[in-house]
Amino acid sequence: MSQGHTGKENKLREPVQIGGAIVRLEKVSRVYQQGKVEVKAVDDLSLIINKGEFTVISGPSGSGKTTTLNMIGALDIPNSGTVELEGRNLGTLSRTQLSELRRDRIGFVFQAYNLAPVLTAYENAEFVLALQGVPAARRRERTMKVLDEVGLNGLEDRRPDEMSGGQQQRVAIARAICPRPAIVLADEPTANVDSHTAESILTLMQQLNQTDGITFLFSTHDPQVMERARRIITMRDGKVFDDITKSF
Amino acid sequence: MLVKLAWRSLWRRKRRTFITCFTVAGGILLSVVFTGSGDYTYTQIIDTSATMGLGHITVEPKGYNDIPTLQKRMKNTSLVRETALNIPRVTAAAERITGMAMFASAAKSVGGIFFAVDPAHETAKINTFVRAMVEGEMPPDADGRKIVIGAKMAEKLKIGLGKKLVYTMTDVDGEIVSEVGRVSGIFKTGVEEVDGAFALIPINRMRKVLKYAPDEATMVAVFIDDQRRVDGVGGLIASALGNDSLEVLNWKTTQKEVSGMIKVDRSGNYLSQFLVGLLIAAGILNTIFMSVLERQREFGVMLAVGLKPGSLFRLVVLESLFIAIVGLIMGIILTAPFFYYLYYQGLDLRQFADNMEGYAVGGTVVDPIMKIRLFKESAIAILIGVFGLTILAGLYPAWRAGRQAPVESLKTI
Amino acid sequence: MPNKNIINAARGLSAVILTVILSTGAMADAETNQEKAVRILERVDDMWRGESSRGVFSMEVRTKRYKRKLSLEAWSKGKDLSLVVIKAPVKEKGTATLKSGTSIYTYLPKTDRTIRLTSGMMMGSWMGSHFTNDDLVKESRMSDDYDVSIIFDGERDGQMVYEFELIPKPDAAVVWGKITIAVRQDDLMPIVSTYFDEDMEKMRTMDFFDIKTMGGRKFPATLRVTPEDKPDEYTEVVYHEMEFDIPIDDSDFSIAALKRSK
Repeated sequence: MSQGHTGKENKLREPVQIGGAIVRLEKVSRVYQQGKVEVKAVDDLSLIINKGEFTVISGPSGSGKTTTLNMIGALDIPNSGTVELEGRNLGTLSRTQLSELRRDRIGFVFQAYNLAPVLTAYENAEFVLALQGVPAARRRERTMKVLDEVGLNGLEDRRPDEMSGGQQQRVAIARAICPRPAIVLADEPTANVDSHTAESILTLMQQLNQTDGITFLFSTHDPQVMERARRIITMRDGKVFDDITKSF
Repeated sequence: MLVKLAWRSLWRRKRRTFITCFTVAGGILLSVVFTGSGDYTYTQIIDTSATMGLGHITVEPKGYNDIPTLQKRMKNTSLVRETALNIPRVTAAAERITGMAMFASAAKSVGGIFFAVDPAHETAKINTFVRAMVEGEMPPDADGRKIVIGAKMAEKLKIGLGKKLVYTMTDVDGEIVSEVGRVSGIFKTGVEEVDGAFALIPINRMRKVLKYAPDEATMVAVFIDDQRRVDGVGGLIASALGNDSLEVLNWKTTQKEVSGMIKVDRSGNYLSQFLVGLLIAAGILNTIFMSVLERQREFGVMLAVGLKPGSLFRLVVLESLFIAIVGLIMGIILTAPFFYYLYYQGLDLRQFADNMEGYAVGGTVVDPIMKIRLFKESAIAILIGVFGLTILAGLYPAWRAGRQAPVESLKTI
Repeated sequence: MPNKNIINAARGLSAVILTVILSTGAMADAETNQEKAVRILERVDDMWRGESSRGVFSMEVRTKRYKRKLSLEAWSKGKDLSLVVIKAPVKEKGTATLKSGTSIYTYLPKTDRTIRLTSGMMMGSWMGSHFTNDDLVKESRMSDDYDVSIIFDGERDGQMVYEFELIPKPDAAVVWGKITIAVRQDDLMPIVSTYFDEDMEKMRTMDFFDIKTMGGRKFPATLRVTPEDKPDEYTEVVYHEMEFDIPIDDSDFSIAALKRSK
């Protein structure tokens, strides 16, 4: 991948700060067609996530939390309303721009099968950097540092099928944070690991949130995650049912 | 990165990929054997048919090819011959008169075709009949009465070496004329139709009989080193001659049976190769398509983290390209022993068919040993075919992979 | 058998032979054997040659596969012109063969078409017989093509005969290796002629019988050709009527006349 970037791409990579808000959803609706029935996954939702948050979107399945996360991650497009990331209206961007936005500004951690099975831990972790066209030397430096941070020192050459679920999630986290994204979106990151492993993953994420200032937004109903969150947004039927910010 | 990903993804399903590559290799084997035997056999047929009288290229009076008669003749044949011999790639040229005649002995008479030739210019290399001589020798000069006939004709006429026969034909004035000849040589090609019909007669004798001028003939047969160059060399000869009353034709026109047969055989060959290619392409498509479907989730994640759909398309095309490359390497390994054997030893087709001493195609004697040659053009065509079909087979799965929305793929777990 | 005069066709049957046969003549004294032979044969030839002729004859062809009999009428003028027309059977009635110089034309009344025989057809059978078209056309004098000599002069089977031997000259366009002809000495009537190949193998025999006088001339009315390799087969020609030196025009030997002949 070439290192040459257009001005547009560079602009996308620079954080645009409007107040403290990193994500702003305004009257967002997402309707799915399921057969002949219209299902309102997200219904007229307005929400702001601020920089540095460590927030959970919670709710029973079907409440719209994953859809919300996908729309914030530019993976899904609302039928109405606007989604802004770092002050940029996602509705105005092209497919390619959205793709670049995801690559440069958003980190993703999914619940399972997060990694390319044919790539090693190291290669998976550096994947996004490679997509960005970061030169090999700098990529290596950054990736090794992050792998060290997530505690995978010495496991760089393992393939996903040679690692535990927790180790795999750590690789996914490393991949998410290597490019220094504005926000990491994590969809049920602890769903497929035991509670002990979940604990260590969450600790890692919390550390990264606190030391590096990376914003984390989870979609989960795992109490372990909610315990660590400072803000819990509960959704029901596509709407915000509750929005609690803990005070420590 | 994409290359690494494509290569490793390919070998995740080792057996499936191996089998796919193996079918590509098998296709290459078939293709090389089919095309190679065609390249060899067609060249052999063309070269042999050229030596059956008309040459690769024939310089003849305009209109002769459409309605050949002994009345149509060209002048200054020795000059034409010299001119042709000065053209690059021309290996030999010979003045000839050809026509129909009746050959009679005391016992019988048979219809046949004569080539009146200058024995000094005829060699085994350019003349099937010289090559196939089994008894006696060529006439010593162009003026005498010695003639060469086929073994079958000799048998029918119940004559042998040294015996006479009378040949009768129509001269330039339309008069029926006869001349006596004495058999100095007998040839046997193994093809009865040929051995029963052809005769070589000294050209100057024939000129006298037909009332031709000493420098007249019905054609100059020209031979070249590579049958594929007939058009180019023919053009050079035509412009060197610069004579409107002459026509420079090549075997494609003068030997319609041969060129027609080759065309039909070649199209059949191409068609079967195309069908084999299609089957292989379907196999490749299946393999890649299945592998794309299996990896939807993986692709979804990659798209989510910022891989562009175009790159995903390229990734899948790259995978089919690798199948082509691996298939090609395996194909070369698989084909090499067959090619080597068929190139040097050849396959004796007589073991598959009885009574194949002489085997003729479109009246041309063909060697019953099937050998193989591969022209550069054919090798390139096979390469293009292999890569073309493989990549073509990868295009649809690649397009499918590239157009899927990440969010849809992510749902597939 | 005055076939030369009668119809070239019939004469052609035996082309050379007939020429030879017809030309038997008296012998002179102080000459070589060969000169004598030539003189006798040529004299006979001239003696029997009329300016023109008309004849009616039948031809029976027997081969392993079939037997057929044709009735024919023929006219001739000089040595270059002759015309033969089939009278019976009805199926072939009107089919005509015209010889003019070295060309032969066949006219088929059914299709009203005239075909000029090509060189390739010259060796073909004439009307299914054991004669070839070429037999009809051959014109050269035997002395042009053959060296002639008398090889027997004496009594054989109770009659005095000459036996001539004809050896083709090396350059002659003749397929035979040798021809022998036996002729009665008293009236110079031919008895038999035999054709050999170069190995002196007998190839075919032509027998002459049934000597009659027609149109004022005496000749064998029947001649039969037997190929040596197929002794069961033969072609037999029987003359029924002959006239000589009748008035006939050159134009009667044209393609137009061919069509008229039906």
